[in-house]
Amino acid sequence: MITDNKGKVFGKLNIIDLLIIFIVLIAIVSTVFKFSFSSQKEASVKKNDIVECMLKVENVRMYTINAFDEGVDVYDESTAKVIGKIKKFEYEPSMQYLTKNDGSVVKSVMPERYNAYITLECPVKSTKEGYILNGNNLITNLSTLRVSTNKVEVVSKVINIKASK
Amino acid sequence: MKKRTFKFGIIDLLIVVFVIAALVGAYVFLNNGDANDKDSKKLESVDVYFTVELKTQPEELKDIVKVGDKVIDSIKGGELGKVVKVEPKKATNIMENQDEGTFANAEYDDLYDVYVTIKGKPTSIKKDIMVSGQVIKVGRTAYFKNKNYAYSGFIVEMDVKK
Repeated sequence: MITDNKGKVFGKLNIIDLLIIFIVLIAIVSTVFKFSFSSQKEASVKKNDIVECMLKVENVRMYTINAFDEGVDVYDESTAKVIGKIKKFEYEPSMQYLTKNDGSVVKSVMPERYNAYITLECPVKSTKEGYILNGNNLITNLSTLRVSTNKVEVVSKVINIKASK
Repeated sequence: MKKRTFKFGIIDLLIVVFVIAALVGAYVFLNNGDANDKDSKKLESVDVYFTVELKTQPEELKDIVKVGDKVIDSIKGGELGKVVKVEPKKATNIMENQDEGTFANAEYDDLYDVYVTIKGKPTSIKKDIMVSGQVIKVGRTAYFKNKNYAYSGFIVEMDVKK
């Protein structure tokens, strides 16, 4: 029999010992898998690049607009790494759609709400799937990025990536 | 009396390793942002001022927070700072005018947005500016309380001043 009359597997290991060994094996396999996948990503990297990456932050108040400064470092909140510096910061009134009583759909200005456009200069690694930021986050156009400076944190959308001049 | 021998097996070793790793992890997590000796003088010389927005407070509660109140971190319990300014404003909400096809700010008669400015000592001013255990950034939520109230709200302004 595999278990003896004391419930131990092969007379040596009990169920708690087996659970601990199982958890350790899972941890080791996960770590190996993660680093193997990272090295595969590294293998497909074409080159290092500097790109201009424009992020759009939608429908925020003037408090958020005032908290941004050009020239400061921007962090990717998912990796806590600096991904670039703010090269240019612009904003415009936010507009949203609404349905009128006659059934037509119009676009109208939202009071006290703005869309911000943050242009970053980012060192990246170019791959066929997209661009890898500092910290190994892969981005393409329309990626969502939670970013921050040391004063403000926002959710943004990547709307334009182009080679830096 | 029979002498008991202590046997230390591989499983026992694994448990010890896990416990040590958990203790190290807990220490790193709880001390995230703590300054080293070089930064401590810089931290002592500055104050963090941050304004928390308490949305749609009823009339009877709009004046409950007072200038001079000492407040603590609701999450970790450390001292957060002192209230230096309280500014209640009529609460507003964006409404649709479906006749004209426009948006407008509508004011509530009996609800207030209260803006509470707190002055605190930073515990870190590296990537994140932290006061007690909380990251202070515009867009983040701040949690504070004292014996009379407990609130949370978005941080709408922050600054570091000497």
